[in-house]
Amino acid sequence: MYGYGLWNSHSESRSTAATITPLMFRKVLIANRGEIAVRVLRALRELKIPSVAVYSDADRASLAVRMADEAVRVGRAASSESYLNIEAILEAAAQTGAEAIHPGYGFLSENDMFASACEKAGFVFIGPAPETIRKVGSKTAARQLAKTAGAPIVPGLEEPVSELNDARKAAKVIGYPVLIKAAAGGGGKGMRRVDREADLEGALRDASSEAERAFNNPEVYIEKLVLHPRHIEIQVIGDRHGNLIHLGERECSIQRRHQKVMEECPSPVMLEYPELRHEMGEAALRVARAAGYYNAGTCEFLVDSDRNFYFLEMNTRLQVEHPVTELVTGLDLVHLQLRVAAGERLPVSQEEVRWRGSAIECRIYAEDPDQDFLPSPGKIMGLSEPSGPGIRLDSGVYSGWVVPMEYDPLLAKLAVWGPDRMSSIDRMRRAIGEYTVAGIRTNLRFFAEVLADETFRSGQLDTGFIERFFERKRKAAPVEDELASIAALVAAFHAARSRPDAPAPIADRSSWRQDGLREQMG
Amino acid sequence: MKRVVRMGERQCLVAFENHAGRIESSVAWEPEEGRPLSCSYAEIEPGLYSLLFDVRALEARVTGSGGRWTIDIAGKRFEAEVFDPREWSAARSSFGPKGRLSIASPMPGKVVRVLVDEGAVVEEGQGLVVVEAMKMQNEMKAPKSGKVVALAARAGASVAAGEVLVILE
Repeated sequence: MYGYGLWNSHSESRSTAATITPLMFRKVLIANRGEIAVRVLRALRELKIPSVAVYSDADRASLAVRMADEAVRVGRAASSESYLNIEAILEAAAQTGAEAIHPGYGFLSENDMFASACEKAGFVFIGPAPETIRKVGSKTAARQLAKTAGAPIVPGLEEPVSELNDARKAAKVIGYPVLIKAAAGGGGKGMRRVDREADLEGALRDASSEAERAFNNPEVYIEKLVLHPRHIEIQVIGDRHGNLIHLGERECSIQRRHQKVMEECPSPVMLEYPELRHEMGEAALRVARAAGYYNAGTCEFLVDSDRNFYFLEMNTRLQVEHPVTELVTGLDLVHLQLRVAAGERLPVSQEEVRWRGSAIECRIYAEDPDQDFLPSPGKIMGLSEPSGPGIRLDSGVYSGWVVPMEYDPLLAKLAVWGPDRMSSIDRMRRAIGEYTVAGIRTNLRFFAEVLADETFRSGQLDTGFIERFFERKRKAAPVEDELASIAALVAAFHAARSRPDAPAPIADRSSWRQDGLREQMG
Repeated sequence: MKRVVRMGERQCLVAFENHAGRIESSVAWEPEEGRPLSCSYAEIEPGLYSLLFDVRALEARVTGSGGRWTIDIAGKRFEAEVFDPREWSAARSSFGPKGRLSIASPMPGKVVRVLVDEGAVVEEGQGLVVVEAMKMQNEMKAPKSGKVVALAARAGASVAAGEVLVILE
């Protein structure tokens, strides 16, 4: 029942019925929106747990509200007044009699104050303990934790550095190029690359003042710059009985603006060196154990070209890209999250986890890849969605939905499974070809081009991939003359028909329909 | 029917006829000659067309209005403006201050003839300027009666889209 491993297992058969134990929640509130709210909702429905959605004024007509059993307004469109409003969310949970709260990702999911506020108010927070979130929340604290736990970290300082002389000494020991990073940082803010000692002083000053502005904390530290790294993460999950397992890796090197847009499992590097999965999995488990981890979490690593891996940080929540892991392991991470949060034991052991085939996910955003991925909110005027063998679409939108400008413009996650990497790449290309979102711009075409790119197909990935991909594209830039002619014809034809006084061939259709009706009735 | 379709910096003349489920057309990208393009079509839902070019199947979705269209086809997206060359004169006229009416060129082209003088009084529908674009000559007509208070059009001159050629008062 649980995952692909047990299909081949010769061990004694366990109870396979997905019965709800008395421990399981009677009602769960989802403190999130968009596709992840829908994702969690689906898991709740499968487990026959009534669901409560919360919504802001911008999301009254959202898919999550349409699908939920109950829905409560939590405030105005601005997320600070709704999805980040702890008081309103706890009130909604109390009002509906929810027993537990699933935070999704983003918003309050990694906020230890929210986690502890939930528990104080008597709701189960579906995630790790508030102390755990706090412990791994700061990058320097997480680095220390990882070092103590015996997981490799990028060589560098564990403490913030303020004196130039200390920084000089440290950088010399680490070896240039180095990276100056904000201790409280994220998203590339307060980060500087330094290639030689002469540039250190200025970079230190710039990074520190940028960190002060962005995070209200000028502390910076120094670590080695890993050149052309892959970004690979390890999924872990644990119960409250001390069981903790890893579910393998996700390769997340395809990033724009330090944000992942495409993920896959297995990582192409693991296909070549399968032992790396075990080594990195063990390292992730050591960090998670040291943090007293339970529920789902992810350890992020950089992997250099010599396959040295370095712990980067831990995300104490469900990841956007979790479907990739679900497709290859056959496990449902949201089901597992709910079960372990309710106090159940993990139904699968490390030895039983199997990885089967290959999975890829593309994050479909309302954004324009031709204009530096600028968000493109607005009304969806038409929607054709892919389906068929091996396709999984986790969408939060429908035709007619207005994508709000207040939030992250993620529309849907398109994931595919195939027996091997090439099959899933080609399957994803097929699925993208079936996918049209009209009325707004999306990054669908960008994925179609990446999937056709020889470098991507060869699996030679690192976090600089997208930048180089666009460089290659600028040089090539083929003109699709025939397709442009067809598009011009369609535009001219449709525009001519759309005129109110134009002779409407639409009449043909309705007469066909009437003929059809007559036939049916006759 | 004829339509001028503008995509970014390029434009083409699309001449097409619709014969009960089949479109016979010729598409001429400036400055090239027209190439024939024929297909059968079925409108699946408003703006969603299934097209068969001989046996090659494509699906195109068109959205938009007011002459600006987005066409999604085979994973590619095209943005197009569509003009009806017959509506040349009315296409881009707009009222300015003091009841002045500016008549602007709706697309790039070349002024072939100027039919009026500055200061002339014209009747509604009277020809003002002949512009050639896409190998077609188009007479821009006065959308209302009035006096020509400004005349920017010069025979032989190239004009850009949106360029004001005549102002009526």
